[in-house]
Amino acid sequence: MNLDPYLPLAIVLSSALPGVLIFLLGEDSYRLRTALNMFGALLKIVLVGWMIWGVFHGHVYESRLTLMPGLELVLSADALSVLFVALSTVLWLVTTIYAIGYLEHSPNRSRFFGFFSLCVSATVGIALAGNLMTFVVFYEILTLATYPLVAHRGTPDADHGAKVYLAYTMSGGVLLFVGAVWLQTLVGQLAFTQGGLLGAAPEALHGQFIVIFFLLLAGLGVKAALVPLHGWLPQAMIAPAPVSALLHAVAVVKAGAFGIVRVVYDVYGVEFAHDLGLLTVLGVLAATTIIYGSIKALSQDGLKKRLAYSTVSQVSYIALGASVLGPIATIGGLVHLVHQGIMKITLFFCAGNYAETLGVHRVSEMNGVGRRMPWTTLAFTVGALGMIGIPPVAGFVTKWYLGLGAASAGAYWVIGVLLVSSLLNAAYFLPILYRAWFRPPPEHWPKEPVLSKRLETAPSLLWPPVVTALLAVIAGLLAAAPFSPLEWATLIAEREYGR
Amino acid sequence: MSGLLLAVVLVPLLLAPLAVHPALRWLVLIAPLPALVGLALLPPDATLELPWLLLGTALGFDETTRVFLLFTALVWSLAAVSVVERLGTAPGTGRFRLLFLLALAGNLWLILAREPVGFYVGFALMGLAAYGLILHPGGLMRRRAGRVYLAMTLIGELSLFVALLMMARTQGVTWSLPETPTPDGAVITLLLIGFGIKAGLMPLHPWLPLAYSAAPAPAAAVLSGAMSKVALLGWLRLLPLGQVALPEWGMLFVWLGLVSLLVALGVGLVQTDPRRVLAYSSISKAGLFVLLLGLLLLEPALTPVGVGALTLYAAHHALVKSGLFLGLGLRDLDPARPLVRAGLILLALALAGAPLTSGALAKYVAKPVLLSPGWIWLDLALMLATVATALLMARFVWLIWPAPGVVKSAPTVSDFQEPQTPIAPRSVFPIWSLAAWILLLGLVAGFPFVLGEPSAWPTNAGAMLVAGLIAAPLALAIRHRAPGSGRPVRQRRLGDLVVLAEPILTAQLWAARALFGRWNAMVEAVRAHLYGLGERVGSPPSDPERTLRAWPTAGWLWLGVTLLLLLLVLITPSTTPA
Repeated sequence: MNLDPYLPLAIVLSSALPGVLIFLLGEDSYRLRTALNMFGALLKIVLVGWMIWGVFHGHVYESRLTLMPGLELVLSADALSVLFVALSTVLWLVTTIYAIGYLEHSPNRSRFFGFFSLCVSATVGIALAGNLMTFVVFYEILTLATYPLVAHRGTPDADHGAKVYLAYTMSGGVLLFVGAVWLQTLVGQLAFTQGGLLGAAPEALHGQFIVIFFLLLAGLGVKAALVPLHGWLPQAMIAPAPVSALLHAVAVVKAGAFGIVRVVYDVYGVEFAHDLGLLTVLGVLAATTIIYGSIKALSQDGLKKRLAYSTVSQVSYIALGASVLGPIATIGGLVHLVHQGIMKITLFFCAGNYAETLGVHRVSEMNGVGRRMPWTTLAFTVGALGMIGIPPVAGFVTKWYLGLGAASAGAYWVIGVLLVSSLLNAAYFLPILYRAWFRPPPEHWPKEPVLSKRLETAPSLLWPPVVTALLAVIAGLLAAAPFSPLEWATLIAEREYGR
Repeated sequence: MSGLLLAVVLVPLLLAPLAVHPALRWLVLIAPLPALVGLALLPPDATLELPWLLLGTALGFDETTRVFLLFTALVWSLAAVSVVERLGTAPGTGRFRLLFLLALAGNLWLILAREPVGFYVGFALMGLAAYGLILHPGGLMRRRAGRVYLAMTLIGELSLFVALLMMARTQGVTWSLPETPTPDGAVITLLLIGFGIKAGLMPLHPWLPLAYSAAPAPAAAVLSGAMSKVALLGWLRLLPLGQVALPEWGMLFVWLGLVSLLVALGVGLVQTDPRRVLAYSSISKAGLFVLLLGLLLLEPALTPVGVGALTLYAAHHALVKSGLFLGLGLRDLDPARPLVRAGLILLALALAGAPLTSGALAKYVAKPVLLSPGWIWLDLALMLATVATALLMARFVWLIWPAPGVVKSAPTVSDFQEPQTPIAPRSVFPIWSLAAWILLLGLVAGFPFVLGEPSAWPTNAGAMLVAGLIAAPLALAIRHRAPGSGRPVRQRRLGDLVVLAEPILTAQLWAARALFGRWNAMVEAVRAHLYGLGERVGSPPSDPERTLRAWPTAGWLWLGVTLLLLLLVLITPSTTPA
């Protein structure tokens, strides 16, 4: 029996079903819940590994459900979706371990882990969506599944942050929906196609295509936190650290960026989008966001807030890569989807560790923290250097490809943006590192519960950032090795540009 | 066998985290050894392809690489002895050892790298890790030096990054290093900035005197002896030497080099801290390197000779300069030791290029290139530079000489240098560091006799004589002046462009504050810092040559000496054989 058609569905369900089961569990069934979580995460990794192998060898995986004529839900796997699926799966596993340690004694854990699993299922659904309508459906599910996570603490601040989040993303969702429906009325059902499919449409429709692009971009830009649609992201910082980590590295923000990539490459087609002048718009938006986010990050004292603005800035590297015509820039943007994910999740894990272990929430409180928590701070250092783009951490590979792509396409302003962004990144990350490693620690930390006798903090909090930091170094150091994110992004670019 | 090339880089990297532990600090000594073993055992063209590493990289040897690797590994090895013995197990030394080894790994990696990405990785690793070396063991002055260093290093790295990107544009993702594509003007400018900062070429030098005088002796030794030489290697690798003649760029290089060469010598003469004197001598040498590169850009046919001369010059300068810094470290422990003083004088003579020293040999080898254009003004300027270098070294010897009537070593320590506290008690002299230093002295002393022919030995004899004639009466004159009899001394030195920039920086911070409203604690701290600096600049201790240091006097002296020299040169057309 051929199992291929069921594989994409199985990957989505491998986190959705445990999620539903977890809702049914009592608050005290710690072991069963953990077992379900880990089972789902590991099963998903095995399935995704299988899919990576298949896609690399040109297999086609497609699950299809016809709702009515002309409206089908399609889950299928191409190289681009596999990139995103693999990222979410690996980081979901790490984040789950982290969250188990982080929320050990807090209330409502069943609700939390239930929605956590649903959130990842929605993300994977977005990654595997085979047409625009399926994409929109999972995009909305993601919005709804994330709301309870942001509001998890139940404090007035959390409620407020979650409401802002919902208001922004729901409005964005509406725009996206309108754009998608409009497009479908013009050209029929829109299966994502490598190289795009609007280029063949009659020229009379081009004007409408441009308007629709703006609608889609506005809808996706809310989640991708493009300026001026980024307002919700710093507010959503109120969520617990594992949620922030997932939000920034994998789920919400990344879903928006991934959507932009899909629309540019597989709906419009990058050359057609370039001909319509849409890439310029995207590029200017991305560049503005990169610079603006970095400048805002400079003046934040709250560590998580500074990281949030850093996300605003860094995620737009992906859009920037998509906005430059040419395979090398494409590779740079796509590979940053993964690189930004591993580096930023490391930084958020570390921020969570400082808060949980020492009660440190602000940059100004971080003096000498490297002496008290060397491993966490080492991981933080790797993440921060990667964000600046210092080799051999993964961020450097992104910057090299983006810069090279821009130079090849003659878009020198992109190099300027990269330079300014690097300097600004250095300006808001290096002082943190200086404080952490070179300043003497205070006599007492704000709050210091005993989490571990031997290690600097609880093991389930310590290992996730160390592992992801290691991944960030490996992704940069072994960028040319087979099945590295860079090699995979190269494969995607080759298929997109038909070479 | 060629796996040994990987070990050269990998061993320091892997030992770095282990050496943090005080009991394992001796590991620092082992880290540079694979490089020396590799040089001894591997064939001269050994290469190792590593297609899976970074964006696909390779390590390997060529003529230039081997020389750079040799002196770099030597400098790091000898400095490592000091790190282990003198810094010992004091607080913060674990971090120092870690960063020392990381910087070493970066330095070796970029020398061996056969493609630009590997080169850049080593360059960045080295540059950033060195920040922590300058900062050790903390204190206001070092923090300031570190901050300036870090800011300029980042700018340099970004310039190099863009330069490499623009060169890679026509090459695919990366390319093999010897076959460098011909760069355009923008690329050459960026290379000039990127490496110029590392070398300390004027006006990109402000970090250098600060860092050299702040860093502990072994750190200053590797900074000056090994790390700044990387700039020259980078230029040799990436500029289109020997391919095309670029007359405009050649002239620009010649003039930039010449300005740096002469101005730095003048500024160096009025310094009061021997470390700063050495720093300005490094800046002037950077000028000489750029001058030579410029001549090669003018006349591609000279490239084989020129590259050889530059490499030899770099080797000589690396050994001598690191020896001087290590020797100063020893001298701080016990200023009265005659052996240390004699060694320092020998090194100073070598740096000045006195006959029978490595400096004379280096000059001799470079001479065909220096004389190639046959411009009389260039010959004059070079003659002037040789004499001024000799005077600078005389000044250095003057500064390290224990002043009469002053008991402690205080007079030579700069006015805003925090006292270098000896870590070991005076009674326990670091005997291994001394032994390593004597080994280095032996290398420097043997250098001209092993590598050069007898005809090279008397080079510069005429210039030395002139310098002696100028220096002797000056020294006598100052000796006879009573201390404290001069006009008040200007406290800020011309070389410290940074000091001039600080009010501007403060103003910018104010403006930014007005623009952005909320401003964070980080910037507040920086501001407090800047204001704190003003209070720290106290009045200098009085000492016999105070009048010489005062700007008006020094300026007139400098002008007078220059005129005198010009006259001398005009009367005796050339002491350099054509």
